[in-house]
Amino acid sequence: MENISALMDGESEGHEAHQAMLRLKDTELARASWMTYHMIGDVMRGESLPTFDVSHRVMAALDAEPTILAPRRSPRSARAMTYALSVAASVSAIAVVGWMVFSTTNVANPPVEVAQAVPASPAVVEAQLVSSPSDGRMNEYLLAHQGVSPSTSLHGVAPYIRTISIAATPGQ
Amino acid sequence: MKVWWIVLLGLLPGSVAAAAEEASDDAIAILQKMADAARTLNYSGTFVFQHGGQVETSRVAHFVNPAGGVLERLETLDGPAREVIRSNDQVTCYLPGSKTVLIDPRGSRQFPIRFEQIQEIVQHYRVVKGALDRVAGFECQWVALLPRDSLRYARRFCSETQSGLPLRSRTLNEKNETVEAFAFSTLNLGGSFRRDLVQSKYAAVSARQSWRIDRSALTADDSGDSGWVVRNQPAGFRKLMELRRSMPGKNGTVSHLVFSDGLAAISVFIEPGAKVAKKAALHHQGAVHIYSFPVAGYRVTVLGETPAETVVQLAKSLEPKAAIPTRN
Repeated sequence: MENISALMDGESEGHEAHQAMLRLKDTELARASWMTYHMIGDVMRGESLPTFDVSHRVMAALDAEPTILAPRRSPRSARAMTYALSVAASVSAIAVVGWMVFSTTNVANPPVEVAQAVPASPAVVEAQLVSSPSDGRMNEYLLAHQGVSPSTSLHGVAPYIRTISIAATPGQ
Repeated sequence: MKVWWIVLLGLLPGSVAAAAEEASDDAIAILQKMADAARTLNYSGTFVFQHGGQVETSRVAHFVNPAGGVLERLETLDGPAREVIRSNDQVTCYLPGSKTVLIDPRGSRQFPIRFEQIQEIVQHYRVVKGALDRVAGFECQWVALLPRDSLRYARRFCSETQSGLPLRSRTLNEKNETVEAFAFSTLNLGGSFRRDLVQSKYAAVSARQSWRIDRSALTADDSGDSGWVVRNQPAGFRKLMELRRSMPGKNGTVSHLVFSDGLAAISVFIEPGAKVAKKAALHHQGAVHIYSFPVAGYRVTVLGETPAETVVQLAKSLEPKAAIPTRN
C-alpha cells in the first residue's frame, strides 16, 4: 500500500511507479486504496465531494437516534480503517472518508461512529475568539443585511427566517 | 496518468462519476436562469430551513407584477408564530410573542444576480453541473458553486428544470458540513396573484393592540459617504453600497457599507456607541458570521454569509477616512 501512497504523492518513479500501476490495474484492494487515499486527500484539502452529503445524513441519524450506542464494526471495516489511519492525520477526516468509502462498497457502517466524529465545531478564528450562537441582539443588523445580499435574491423572503428565528427565542 | 483516471472513474458508482466536472457553460446558464426565476416567478408553498441545528417549516408566497413590483409573505409553521411581509423595498416582521413589529422601509434593496454578477461569481467559484433530482414533486438540476479559496462557502442549488426556480439549496463550510439548508416540501409554480396568500395575519391586530414598533426612519442621509474605509478587503469582495441610515432599535445614524463577491455579501455597520462593548465578540446564525468590536468610541459590527475569517479580515482593515467622523 505504501507504493500506492508514494505513487499518489508523486514520490515513486520509473520501475517502482510502473509496478504500482500494474498492481492498481490488477487488484481490487489496490484500487480501493487508491480511491480511499484520494478521498482522504480531498477531504483534508477541504475539497468538496459533491455526491455525499455526509452532514445531512448525520443530522438525520442524530434525529432518528438520540442515544449513542456502541458501534458494531465488521472485521473488514476495521481493516480498512487501519489503512486510513496510516495515511491521515485528522481523525474526523478519517471518519468522514470511512463513511463514504464504506457507503460505496456497501459495508455496514454504524452511523453512530460518524455522528461522534463530526461535531458541530464552532469556527475558531483566533486562539481566544470562538464563535458562539447569536442571541438575538444582532437582529437589527441581520434584518438590514438580508436585503442587500445578492444571495438573498435567490430565495426571496426565505432567508429572513434567520432574523425572526432568533427574535422569537431571546435568551436561548 | 490521465488514462488511469478514466479507468477509475469507470469503476466508480454512477453518482460519483456524475460528480466529475462537466463543461461549465451549461452550468452558468442554469445559474443565470435560476437568478432570473427567483425574481420573476410567482410561486407559493412550504419550505424547510435548517440552520444552526434548528429545522423550521414555513409557508411562503411570492408574487410579482409586470412593473417589477414584489409582494411576499413568509409565515413560520413551527414554534412561536412569526411573519415577514415584503412589499417591494419594505420589510415588516411581525413577532406576536413579544408583540413587536420590526419595520425596515428600505430593508430590501435587492441586488439581483444579473449578467455582471455571474461574471464575478465565476471568478471566485467553480460552477459545476451535477445530477438530476426531484424536489417537492418537480424535477430539478443540481448545480454547485465551489469556492476557489477559503474566503467563501460552497453553495449547492437544485434548480427546477423548466422554470429554473431553486427548489433546494445548501451552504457548506470548508469541512463540507452543511451550515444552512433550504428545501421546498410543497410548491405551486406560476399561477396568478392571490391576495389571501400575502395578506398579513397580524397587521390589524398589531395596530389595534398598539404593538411596539421598531422602525428605521426614511430620513437617512444617503450621501454615499460613510466616513469609513476598508483598506484591505478580502480578495474578490468589492464595495456594493455605502450610506448612512437609521435602523430599527438604534438611535442616531448608522454607517452601512456592503461588500460582495457577486454572491455572498458582508455588511459593515458603524455606530457611535454609548454602550460600546469593551471586547470583540464573534457570533454566528446559520451561515452568517457576526463580528463586533469597538473602535475609538464607535461600535462596529461586521456580518456576512461567509466563513468567520472573511468577516474578521474585513473588520480588521476598517479605518476612519481622516479624523473620526462627526457624530450625528
